[in-house]
Amino acid sequence: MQDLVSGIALGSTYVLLAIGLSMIYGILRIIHVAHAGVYVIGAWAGYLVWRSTGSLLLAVIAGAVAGAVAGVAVLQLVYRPMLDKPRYVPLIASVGVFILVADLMAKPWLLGPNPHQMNVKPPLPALRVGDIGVSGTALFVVLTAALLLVMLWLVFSRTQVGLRWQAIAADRELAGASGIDVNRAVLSNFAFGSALAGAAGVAYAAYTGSVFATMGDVPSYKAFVVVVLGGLGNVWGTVVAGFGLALLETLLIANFGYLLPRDALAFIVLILVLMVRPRGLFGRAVA
Amino acid sequence: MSRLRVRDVTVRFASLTALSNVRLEVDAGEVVSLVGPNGAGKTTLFNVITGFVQPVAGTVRLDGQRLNGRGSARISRLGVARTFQVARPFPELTVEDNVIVALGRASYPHPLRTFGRARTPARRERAHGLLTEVGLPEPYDRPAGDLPVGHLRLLEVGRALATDPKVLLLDEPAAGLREPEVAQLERVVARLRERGLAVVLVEHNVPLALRAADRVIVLAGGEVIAEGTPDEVRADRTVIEAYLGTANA
Amino acid sequence: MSGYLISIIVFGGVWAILAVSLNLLTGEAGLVSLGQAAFFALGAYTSALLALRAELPFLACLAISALVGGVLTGALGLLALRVRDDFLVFTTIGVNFLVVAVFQYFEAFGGALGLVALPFAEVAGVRLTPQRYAWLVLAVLGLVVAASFALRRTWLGTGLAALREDEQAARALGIPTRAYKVVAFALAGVVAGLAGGLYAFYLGSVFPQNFGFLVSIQVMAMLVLGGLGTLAGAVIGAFLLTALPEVLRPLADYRYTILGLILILVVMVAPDGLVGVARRWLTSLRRRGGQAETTPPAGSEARP
Repeated sequence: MQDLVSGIALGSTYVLLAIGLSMIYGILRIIHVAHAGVYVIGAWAGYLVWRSTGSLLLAVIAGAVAGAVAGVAVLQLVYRPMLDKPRYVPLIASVGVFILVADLMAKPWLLGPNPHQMNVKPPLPALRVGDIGVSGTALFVVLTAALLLVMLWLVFSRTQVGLRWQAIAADRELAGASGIDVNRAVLSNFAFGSALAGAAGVAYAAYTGSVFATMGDVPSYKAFVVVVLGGLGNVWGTVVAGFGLALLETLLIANFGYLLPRDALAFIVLILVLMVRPRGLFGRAVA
Repeated sequence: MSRLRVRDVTVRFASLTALSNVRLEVDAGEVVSLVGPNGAGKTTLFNVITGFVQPVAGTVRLDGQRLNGRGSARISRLGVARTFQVARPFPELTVEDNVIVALGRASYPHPLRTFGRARTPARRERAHGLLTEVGLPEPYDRPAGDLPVGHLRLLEVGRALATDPKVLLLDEPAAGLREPEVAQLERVVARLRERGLAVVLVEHNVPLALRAADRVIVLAGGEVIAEGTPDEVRADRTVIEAYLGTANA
Repeated sequence: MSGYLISIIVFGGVWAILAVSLNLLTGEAGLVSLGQAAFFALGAYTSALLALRAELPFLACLAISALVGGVLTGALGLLALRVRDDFLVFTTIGVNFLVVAVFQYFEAFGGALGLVALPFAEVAGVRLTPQRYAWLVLAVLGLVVAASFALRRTWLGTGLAALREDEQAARALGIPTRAYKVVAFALAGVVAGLAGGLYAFYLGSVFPQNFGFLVSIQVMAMLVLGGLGTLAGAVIGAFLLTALPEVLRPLADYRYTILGLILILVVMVAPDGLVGVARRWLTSLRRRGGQAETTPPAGSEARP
């Protein structure tokens, strides 16, 4: 049961990171590898704010803002001119951005090559139900993720912006032809998705207690597994897949030990699932 | 025995029945036009015949040999060629190469011949001959992607003919063509019929469809609602209603 | 040749062979792979294991690496029959992580410590000096480039081009696209296997981290920098990116920042790579020259 709790906390960070990726894929069909760079930038900003204020809440907000700014910068400076090019073009550019961010982050004037401790004072009291304990930090991470997901759901289902996103995801040309300002909608989509990644970076740093320049490497690959399992662009499929993968990983390792490195496990699941369902667990059927 | 025989084919997509008990027979040297409103299932029927869509019931036979259940590449090699509703040339290949690609049906699946040379002078000459026959003007050494839409359709017909088919399925070949090109296409179809090909023509240009055909089959809502000679179909009340949209009333 | 030049030639050559392998899949057949390092690893580990455990001679190791690379990569290509487009990209990434994990996890493959102390490469009892090794690498590169060129003239090459352009239309013309996909993976595996064998013997050791996802990215970057779909591009891109860190030695700290910038700028300015730039430049040059001398006959627009 204890594993279930850590699985859910871990899953919350997977979902926050992956969901932005899924939104961006849904609307632009870009394999946005640089999302992991946005995640690190968010973690870095959150770390700075936490160090000077001591508030985790402010840190998460700072991470979200920094994430949104970084994401929008990547969109406008890098992707914008290449949206009509073959698909590998933005992919390679995205990899370029990711390499660049990871390298710059490791410079002493940013995060530097070594990890920084981020031992936050739990912002919430620890919970204890029977013999299951939930640390205050884990609780905070889960609640933050839940709050952001509810917000996202409201945006998607109750606002004009959300409707526009859905229209563009369904058919960009048709949406543009029917009077939707596609550029603006893509911008807000990117900003929102990237803010979630920034918040995820801070949440993950707080949960694990450290911030480091390469912290985006593993999550970037894993977030893609989550997004693909969720059906590439299917936002709610991503939520299910994120929690599912985190729980599966945690439970397998708790019960069977390390059969293979933890990160390979995600890819085994990915390949197995794709062989049975070539468009992901929740992918739309081939027309 | 008919060259192409489609029997009681039914196709469902999720809950939608796209085709229901459709029958179609085409003889060698016969042109059959398939007409009907949008969404009637004409292209779906082509997809069934060429193996892109599997029917839930029914059979497709070529000279008595069963086609459904086989892969589309195999069906093509057995002698069924098609064009697509939206022309689909290989845009980066030259016009000539687009046709040469279709000349290799005997070599592609052969473990040794697949390593043989594709662009021999004889094959280039044959490709040029086919392109001239369908009325596509030179030059043939530019990328197919640079051709105007009308020419893409002619190229696709030429490419389909290069597979040396027994049955040719043409999906709206006249769409986007100008008058002289339509006339050229009609001449090509007439010539193919004389040569003994079985041709199925899906065409929105109804006058053309009736003019070119020996027999006409009218599809609506996935069912055959009328069949006969062009004159019989022209006089059929159900057909007129289907086209006026009152058939469901 | 200086030692430095030799190492540039050997590594540049190995990466170029790997880029040619990737070009077979992505450039010729349109199958985008971001797992090329895994196929490379299959060759390198085969050579290392055969040399260490079976004590087979160098050339035999190399040949078997090509064979094993072809068979195993072809088998992995079966996965590509189920998925397409972006899902194929992710499947190949998954294969990359999986293959590295297997080599890293199982002691039989040396585990995280890798396989070390490979014997020196010998041909007919004569030890290859680094200089001779460099020539050998260039010869193998020449061979795979020539074979790749020859492939384009065959039905197989023509069929793969059709597959790349439009899979359904290719099938409708009788091209067995499923079989051809597997063959494309197998051929790419043979070439990647050769590259892996050459790499293992030159380094004298193999470690799982030599074959990670970033290596796959790097190979893709080389190919795109040079020009996807062109063999000259594969070779030029590979040598340029191999030499780059040395050229940038004064900026060594910012090597990856600069690599990232190069990737972004290349695809932004010239997505068809350096070869594409050169082609356009030559075309415009020829046009200008042609206009100066004679007026081209009507209807014969210059188009390479």
